[in-house]
Amino acid sequence: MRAKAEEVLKSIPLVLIITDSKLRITGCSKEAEEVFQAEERELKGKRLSSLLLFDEKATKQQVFVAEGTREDGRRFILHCRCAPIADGFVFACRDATEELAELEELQSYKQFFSRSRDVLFRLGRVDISPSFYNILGYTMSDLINAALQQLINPEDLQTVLNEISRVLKGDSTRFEFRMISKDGHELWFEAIAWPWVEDSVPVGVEGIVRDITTRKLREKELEQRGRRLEVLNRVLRHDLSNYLAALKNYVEVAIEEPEKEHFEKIESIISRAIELINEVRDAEDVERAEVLKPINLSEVIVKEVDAVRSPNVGITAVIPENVMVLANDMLHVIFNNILRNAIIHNDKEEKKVWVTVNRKDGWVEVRIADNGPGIPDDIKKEIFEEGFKGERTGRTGLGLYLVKTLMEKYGGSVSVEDNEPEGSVFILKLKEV
Amino acid sequence: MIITKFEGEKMGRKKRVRILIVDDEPAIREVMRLILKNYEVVEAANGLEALKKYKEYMPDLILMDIMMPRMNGIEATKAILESFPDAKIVAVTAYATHKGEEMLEAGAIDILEKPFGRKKLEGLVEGLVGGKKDKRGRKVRDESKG
Repeated sequence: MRAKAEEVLKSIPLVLIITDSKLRITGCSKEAEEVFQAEERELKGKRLSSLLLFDEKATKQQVFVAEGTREDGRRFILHCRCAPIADGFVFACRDATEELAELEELQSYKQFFSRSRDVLFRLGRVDISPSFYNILGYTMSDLINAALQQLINPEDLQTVLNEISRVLKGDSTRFEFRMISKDGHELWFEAIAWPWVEDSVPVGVEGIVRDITTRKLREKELEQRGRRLEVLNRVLRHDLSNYLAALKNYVEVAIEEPEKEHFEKIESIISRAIELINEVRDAEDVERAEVLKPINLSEVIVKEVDAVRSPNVGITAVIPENVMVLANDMLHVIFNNILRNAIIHNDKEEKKVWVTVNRKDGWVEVRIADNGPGIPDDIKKEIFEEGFKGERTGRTGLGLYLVKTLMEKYGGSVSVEDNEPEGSVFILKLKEV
Repeated sequence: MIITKFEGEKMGRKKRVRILIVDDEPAIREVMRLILKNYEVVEAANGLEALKKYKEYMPDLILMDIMMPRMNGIEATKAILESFPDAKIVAVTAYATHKGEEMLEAGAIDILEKPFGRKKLEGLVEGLVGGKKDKRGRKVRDESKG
């Protein structure tokens, strides 16, 4: 009977350990030998606590976890049950090493999932990482009640639906789309999506969505800058060709008929070519000066007004001191251009210009009015386009384009209206700081 | 007595060869006028004005710049030729490489590239609408040529 019991103990498919009342091993199963990598005879008499790390009080709790280290240094974990017997204890344990490793791995993935700054998602069974809510500001219940049209920019909705249906058919995809955050901002995202397949059957879509708003804004700015530089290049080439053509012909005429008026024309064309080059340099500076900061508008206007004062120009300026606006060091270009236009295009003997500055609701409004010929309604908008020239003076056509470009950079606006009783008035709105 | 531009023609005087210069750069218009002083010259500062001036003056030749505000030379050329298929239009351009092609497609008969010389401009105009010189050296239409 004893032999039979020992045979059962040996072959039982459990890590079975029998100890005396002082927890010294008196016998064990084959599996226990494998866990401890030692034969029963070597283990007999050893205290269980010398082989396993566990709280000895655990023997009273009956169920506990014990940890050990194999001879090769590998860690193992046992889930044990303990029961008292006549002259000691019996421990029935299960090797939970692999199970625990899987659990730890799973927890690590869960942490990875929740820590990810990109949005990881699965559509089918809705599973979205917390970053989604952080980026867009929605809660889960917001999403449940929201229509897709509220979340995704209507222009991109069809693209998103098409791409998802592509993935459901088995393709992987990458696309960009815009979403609307809870506070109403438009954010750009890039999605990489692939089929979620279980047992060879597609059950949904999984993927990563990254917030690319900053990159998109930068790309847009670079694109606009590229366009502006292209415009500058075009205007420069066009106008220089014109000046050279005019110069070449005037020189030829002057050689045959050396009259004073031809040389005066030549001199005036050269001056305008120099003015063009200065304006192109200003425009390049406009591109470079990026950072917006508080600028003393009052000082800038006073300086520009003084620069255009002359005996036949009457300037009335009402400018409060130290009005600060959000702009950069190129702010003077705006006033230089508008003030010079007000005078150059004015055909009156007594040219008049009025400048007023008013603060209102966080904005500063500058009005520059003149008693010139005015601007016809049909060209009021066109004057801000690149290359638009006054028909008589033929200035470079870059000035007001630069004004518009700068005002857009400053988040402000520029427009022109008729002045009463004559002339025009330029209205500039800048953010007060 | 002041004789208006058309009255002279009605009175049986020979019609002067009339050229419409279309360019947004006043210096170009002025110097072309100076070089083409034997012709009657009309000016326009953009395509839209060119259309108006063409209808008003029916010039024998148009020297049309391409890059202009409001209506560019390509649009103006198409618009003029649509109503007046016999109009003679020469593209005057700093963009001879690519925009010039568009002007030819729009119906321009030749391209004058900027910067051009006096002789080139005179030669081109002479070749297209030369006419005869009257007693005062002014260019008038050579009716015998039809």
